[in-house]
Amino acid sequence: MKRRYCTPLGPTWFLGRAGYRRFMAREATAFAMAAFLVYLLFLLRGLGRGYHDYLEIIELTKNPIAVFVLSLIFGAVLYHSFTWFNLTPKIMPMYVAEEKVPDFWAAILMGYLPWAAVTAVVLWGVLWWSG
Amino acid sequence: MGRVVVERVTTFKKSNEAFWWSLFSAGGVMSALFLPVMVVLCGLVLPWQSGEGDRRAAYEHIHGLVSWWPVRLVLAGVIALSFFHVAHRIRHVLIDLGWRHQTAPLSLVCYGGAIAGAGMTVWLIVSL
Repeated sequence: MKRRYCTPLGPTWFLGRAGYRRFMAREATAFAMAAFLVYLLFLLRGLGRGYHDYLEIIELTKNPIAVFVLSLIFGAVLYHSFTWFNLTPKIMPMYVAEEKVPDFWAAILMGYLPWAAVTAVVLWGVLWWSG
Repeated sequence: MGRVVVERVTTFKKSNEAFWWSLFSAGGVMSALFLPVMVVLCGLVLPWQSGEGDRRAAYEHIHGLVSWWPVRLVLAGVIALSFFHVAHRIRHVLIDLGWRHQTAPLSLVCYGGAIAGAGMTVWLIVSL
């Protein structure tokens, strides 16, 4: 029988160090995102069914608990964006003429600028581009 | 003290990690770019619009916008890939928190859930 040695790690191992805690906070954003994605599915269903179904789903977000949960989700999603864009240059270094672009600028070019553009276009599309 | 037998691993099990990682990564980019503004719109802006007329106009506008085929494509890509992103991350969080043995059911639930979520997304967007 094959036996593997496993280091005895409890489920709270990450609390010991600030870096581990940040890692776990980043990974845990996935739970909040999953909840929001499921909400989006309900919203899409409401959109497809008509005005009253849409309104019913959108009204759900108005009670205080939902506002609290949504703020948590917003924090988690923002944290994901920041950590993701800051990591991008480390995973995918950027070169211009054989010269490595500093991580700071690479993160802005590959992450923050596209993010700003996407945010602006979506806001414009939903809020202002109504005939 | 007992002897520690170190087993030297010379062969690697075939792994699908790279495939799921690529979906995770694509979903990570999409969700990082699109989700913050979507949370603000769906959670903070649309519910608090005042006036019945404004709300109905907003519904008609958003329904029209989301039904436009380029938007359908982008939205389906964003939501479906984000499902794979969160599934992969949740699987790894749970493994890191101690689910180290019998990981097959975990993978099944996570990736199965992502496939179901992505399928639902496409179906809902097609039938808008």
